[in-house]
Amino acid sequence: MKSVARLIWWRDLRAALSSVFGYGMLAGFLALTGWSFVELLRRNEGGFAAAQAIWGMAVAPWLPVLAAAATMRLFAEERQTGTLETLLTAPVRAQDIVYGKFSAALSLVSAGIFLAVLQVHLLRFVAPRLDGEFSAVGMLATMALLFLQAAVWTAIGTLASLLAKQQAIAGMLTILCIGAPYALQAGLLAWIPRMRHSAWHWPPLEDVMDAANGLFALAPLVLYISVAWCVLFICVRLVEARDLRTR
Amino acid sequence: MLEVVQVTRCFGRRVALEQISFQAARGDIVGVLGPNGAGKTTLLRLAACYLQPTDGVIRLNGLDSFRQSLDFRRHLGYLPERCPLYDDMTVGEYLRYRARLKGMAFLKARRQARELVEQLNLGEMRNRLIGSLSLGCRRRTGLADALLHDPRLLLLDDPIANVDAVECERIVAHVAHAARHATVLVSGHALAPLGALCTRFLVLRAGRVAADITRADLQDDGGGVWLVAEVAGATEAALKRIAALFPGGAEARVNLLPDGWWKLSWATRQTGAVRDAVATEVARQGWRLRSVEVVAPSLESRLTDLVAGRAGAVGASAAAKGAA
Repeated sequence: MKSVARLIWWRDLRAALSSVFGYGMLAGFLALTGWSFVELLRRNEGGFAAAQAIWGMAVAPWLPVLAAAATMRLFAEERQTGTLETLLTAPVRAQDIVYGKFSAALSLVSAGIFLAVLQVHLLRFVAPRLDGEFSAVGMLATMALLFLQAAVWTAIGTLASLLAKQQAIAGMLTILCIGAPYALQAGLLAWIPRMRHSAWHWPPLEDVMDAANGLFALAPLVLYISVAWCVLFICVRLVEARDLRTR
Repeated sequence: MLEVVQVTRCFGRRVALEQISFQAARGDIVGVLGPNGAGKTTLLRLAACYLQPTDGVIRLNGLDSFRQSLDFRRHLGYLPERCPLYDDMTVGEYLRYRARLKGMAFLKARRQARELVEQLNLGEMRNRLIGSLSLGCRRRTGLADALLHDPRLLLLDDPIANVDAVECERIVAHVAHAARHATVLVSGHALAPLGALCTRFLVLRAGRVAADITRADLQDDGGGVWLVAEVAGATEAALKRIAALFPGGAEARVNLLPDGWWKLSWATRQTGAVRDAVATEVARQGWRLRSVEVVAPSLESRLTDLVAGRAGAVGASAAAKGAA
């Protein structure tokens, strides 16, 4: 990361961690993933699902929410407080601003994933009945895929924060942008008789399960990386388009 | 050298600035004046590369603000109107961060931040959170940020708004000091401090340049003076009617004083004869005259006339110059 982007990354990460909101966001994420993990374990009692797959399924649905919370302040707050004006008039390239802010939010989301790993091991320690067979390789693969998904959701959140005037609207826009394509897909599949059974499958969740079971397909990896890259590229172009600054 | 050439800026259908052109050399402190909504902030934002002109070009030492924006911004110090700062950082941290952002090496950034903290009397505030600072200290912190990298173009949008007289004096002194090496554009509504600071005034009205005049020209502007009379027993309409009989009196101002007397004033170039004639006319009407005197207008009142677009004895030639 270039030094200017690193400066912006440090500044944004520091701002997030110097507020109650940053810690509250991580605590909320851990509470939700912990609850989901226990609930999924209970439902799969006697089943054959790998423990890391269950953990991945417990974490993946909450990642968009964490990404929305981590990104909603990136640009929207700066625009509200007016500091975007001083940032954009400093001799800093648009890509440094976008990558610095994106990295700060992604660091927070990644911290959430790592804390969720610690949490599941803590849960196993305090509640031996939850003990399952965790494969280290499977766990690493799940984490890697979750990280890629987090990058996509964070990039979408960065774009939403750039477009929205208020933080809350940026958060809602992120959830909408992530959820809408899948809702549309589910809606369309529900109309097709032979496809109705797959209407409620959420592809990112299936990718996590595949990774947890050692099936690492190239297509989702390319998809996640390219979507994140494209969205960030759009963000850079938007920051460069100065007419947007008066929004 | 700052060159603004035929710059127009539209927001949708609304034209905020239209065909603005002027030049400012190094050492010039240009006061950008005008009523609310005249386009002062838009002009400064265009010069700060925050907005893109709809038409026209802004150049600083030959660098185009749009095509060579990054290089242009390396020479730019900007203090926005709201003085936005990161409230969760201390003054020292903020200035070091901004210095690094402006491309300074770590040690130089620390040294520069420390020097500016001392110069702007922020030493005691260095370790305080910006969110807990008074407005005056915030403005000085913002000014320190704008001055960090010794800019060639300094843009200050209302730097003395809502600050007390002492803070105002400090800020004016620092801007005057910074202007030795830079071109300064400063906007605002407090005309007295700006009048003392600026070497030149650019008056905007409805997005156009209404006047562009140097301080020297404004002060020596034809030797126009004000005739001020305090009268009782008359009506406003009658006073205006009588004033209209005298040269320049058609644009007379009539104000009711707290003690019930009317204050009648207008700009004129004739003094003694008009004063006697006014006294005679008031006596003839049967009104009471408390005083009638000829007053040389202060720079502030000349500026007020310029901003308000009152084409009195003072403002007329300035406006004419601007239009020309």
